[in-house]
Amino acid sequence: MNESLRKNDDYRQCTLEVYLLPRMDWADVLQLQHRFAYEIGDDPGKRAALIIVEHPAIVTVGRQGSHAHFRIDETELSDREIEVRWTNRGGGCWLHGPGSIAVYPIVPIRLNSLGLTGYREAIELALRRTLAEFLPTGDGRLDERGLTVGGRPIGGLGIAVKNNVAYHGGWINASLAPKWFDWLQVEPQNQKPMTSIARERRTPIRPDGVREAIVRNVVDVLGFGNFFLANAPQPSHRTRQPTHARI
Amino acid sequence: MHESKSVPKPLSVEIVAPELGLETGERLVVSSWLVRHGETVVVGDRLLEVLADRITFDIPSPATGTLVRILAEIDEPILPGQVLGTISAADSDPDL
Repeated sequence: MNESLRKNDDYRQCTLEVYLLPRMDWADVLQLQHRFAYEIGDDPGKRAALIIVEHPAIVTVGRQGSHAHFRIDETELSDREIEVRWTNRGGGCWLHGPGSIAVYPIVPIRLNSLGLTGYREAIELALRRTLAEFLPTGDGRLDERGLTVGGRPIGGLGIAVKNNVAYHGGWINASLAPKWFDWLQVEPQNQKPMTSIARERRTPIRPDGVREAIVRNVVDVLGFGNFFLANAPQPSHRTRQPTHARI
Repeated sequence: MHESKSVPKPLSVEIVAPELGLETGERLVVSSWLVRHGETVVVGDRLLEVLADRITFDIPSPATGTLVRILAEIDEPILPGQVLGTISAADSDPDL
């Protein structure tokens, strides 16, 4: 991936609604993404959304993820009260929890302009630029390619496109506790354990600062003409018991 | 003389892999058929899903009818423009 994205004007006339949500269940946020994707599909070129959120403990498995990427068995997963959900996005296993920031752009895609490759590269570039703002420049700096530090994943990508609208997106590990790192292979081709911004900096990190940088970089890389912070949507009518992880 | 009543002829509509704006040489595979052989679909329904590097794309049904032929299996590499299957669609009746 090049650090400079191929030139496009796909989003110059488009307004990005930004939702900085409090911690929310993954399933509720997925429902919200479907709703936005449906609405945006009816009005392509004018509207897009970006949800930034943390979830209670859950592993989501994309199309390139597998049971083989779990290094603990189902009993232990159950003992730790970690839900596992299989999803239709690309990418491998994502571990969500406090300090892991999920990034869900819901964006119409022009296949004959930016295309799938250009869109994927844009989201990766936005996450890379965000990480580079927080990581050291010596040891612990971002690798030349991808979302890794010293080969260890610190972010990931996994996108789905329906009716030419992209949803899902990616994640950045700001400060998830290191004891989470070793039992899940998050990238299909990379067996190294995860890392986090806090681990690489050796100092605590304020997730709000990372959220702000994600918004700025997504707006800049995709070239949105406008963006605004939107009010959190009404809560879902679904009733779910909160998930409490014992890690 | 008997007046012959026209019987709707089934039409075959090909399901074609779209141009997705992928980098030249980027691998694209079928990741899931969302409709089984013999099942009916409505135009625009999600029909199958294809997967490039960390991104899935839903291909909608090009016609209303029955999925009668699957030409690309799961994990099989495909190319834009390739025929992936066939929908058998009945002639639409203008009186309906």
